[in-house]
Amino acid sequence: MTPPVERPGSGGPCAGDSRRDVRGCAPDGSCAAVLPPLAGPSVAEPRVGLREITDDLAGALSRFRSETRLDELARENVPDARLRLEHVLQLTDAAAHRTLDLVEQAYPIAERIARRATELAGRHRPGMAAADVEVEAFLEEISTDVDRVRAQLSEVLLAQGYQDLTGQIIRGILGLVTVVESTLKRLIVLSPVEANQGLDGRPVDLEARHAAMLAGCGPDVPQIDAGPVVGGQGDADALLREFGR
Amino acid sequence: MNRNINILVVDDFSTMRRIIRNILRELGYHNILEAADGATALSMLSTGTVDLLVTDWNMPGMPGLELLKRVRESSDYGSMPVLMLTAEAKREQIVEAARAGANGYIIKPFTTATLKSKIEALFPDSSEGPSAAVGVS
Repeated sequence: MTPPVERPGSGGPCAGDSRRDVRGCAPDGSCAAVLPPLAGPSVAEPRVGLREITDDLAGALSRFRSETRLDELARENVPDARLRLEHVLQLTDAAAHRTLDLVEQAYPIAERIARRATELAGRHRPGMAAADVEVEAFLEEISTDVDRVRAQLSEVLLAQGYQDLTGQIIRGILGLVTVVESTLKRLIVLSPVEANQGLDGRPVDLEARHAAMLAGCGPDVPQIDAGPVVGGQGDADALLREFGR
Repeated sequence: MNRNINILVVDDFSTMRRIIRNILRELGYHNILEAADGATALSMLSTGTVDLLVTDWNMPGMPGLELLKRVRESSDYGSMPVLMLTAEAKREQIVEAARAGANGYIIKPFTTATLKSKIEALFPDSSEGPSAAVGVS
C-alpha cells in the first residue's frame, strides 16, 4: 500500500506524474492546499474522494458568498460607490469652474471702475464747491476700495484650489474602489453558486428603498438613484400647492 | 519691467490651471500656456517658446518629478527654469525635486505673494521695483 500523499500548496501547475499526483491535485491540474491522505491505489477511489472535497469547497464558498453578501457588494454596492465618487469629482469640478466664471467676470468690472475713478479724480482744481470736494474724496476712496475688492476676488480664486486637493484624494480612493470592484467580480465568477445573474438583473428590495427614501438619500447621483426627481424649485412649489400648502 | 515671459502651466486639474492662469494675470503675466499632462508639456517645450515651466507633481501618466527629470535631460531646454507647484509636501519629496533640478518648490495651497516672489527670483527683470533681491523666501 502506498504511503499517504501530502502535498504542500505550491500554487502552480503539477509537475509530478499523473498516477501518483492525481490524489493531491485539483481537477484543473493546479496543486491545491494540503489534502488529507487518500487510502488505496485503485483508480475509482481517488475520484470519489475528490468529489467530496470539491463539494465541500463549493459549499464553503457558497456560504461565504451569502454570509458576506458578496453578490450585492460586487454587483451593486461597490460599483455604486465608484459612481458616487466620480459624481463628486464632477460636482466639485463644475462648482469650482462656476465660481471661477463669476470671478473672471467680476475682475474687469472692478478694473473699469478703478480706472474711471482715477481719470475723474485727476480733474480736481482749487476752489471747488463743497459737494465737488466730497465727490473728489469719494473717487479716491473708490480706488482704494476696488483694490481691496480685487484682492478679495483673488482670494476667492485661490480658495477654489480645494477642488484640486479634494480631487486628488478622491482619485486615490477611486483607484482602490476600482480594484476592489474587479476583484469582487472575479471572486463571484470563481465561486460556483447559482447561475450568475446579468448585471442589469438587480433584485429590487422595495422595503429597503422606501426606508432609505424616508431617512434621506442625499443628492441624486445619476446612473444610480432611480425614482423621479423634480425639475426644480417651481416643481416643488407646484407639488405642495396640490396638497393645499 | 518685462512681464512678457511665456509660462507653461502643467496640471491635470483644469480648475487649478485656471486659478494659476488668473493669478498670473493679476500679477501682470499674460502669456500663459497650459498642458494637462507631462507628454503634452514636453511637446510644447520642444517648440522653443517657453521661458518658465510651472508644474504639478501628482498627475496620472507622467508625474511632475519625471517631467522635471526629462526636461533636465534635454539638450534643447535642459536649463529651463522649473517651479514645482504641488500638494506633495514630504521632506523627501522636496529633496528629490531639488536633486532633480527644480528651481523652486511651491506647496499648495499657495498665496499670490509666494508665486510672485518665486517667479521674480528667477526673472529679476520682471519685478516691479529695482531688480535687486535674489533671495528665495
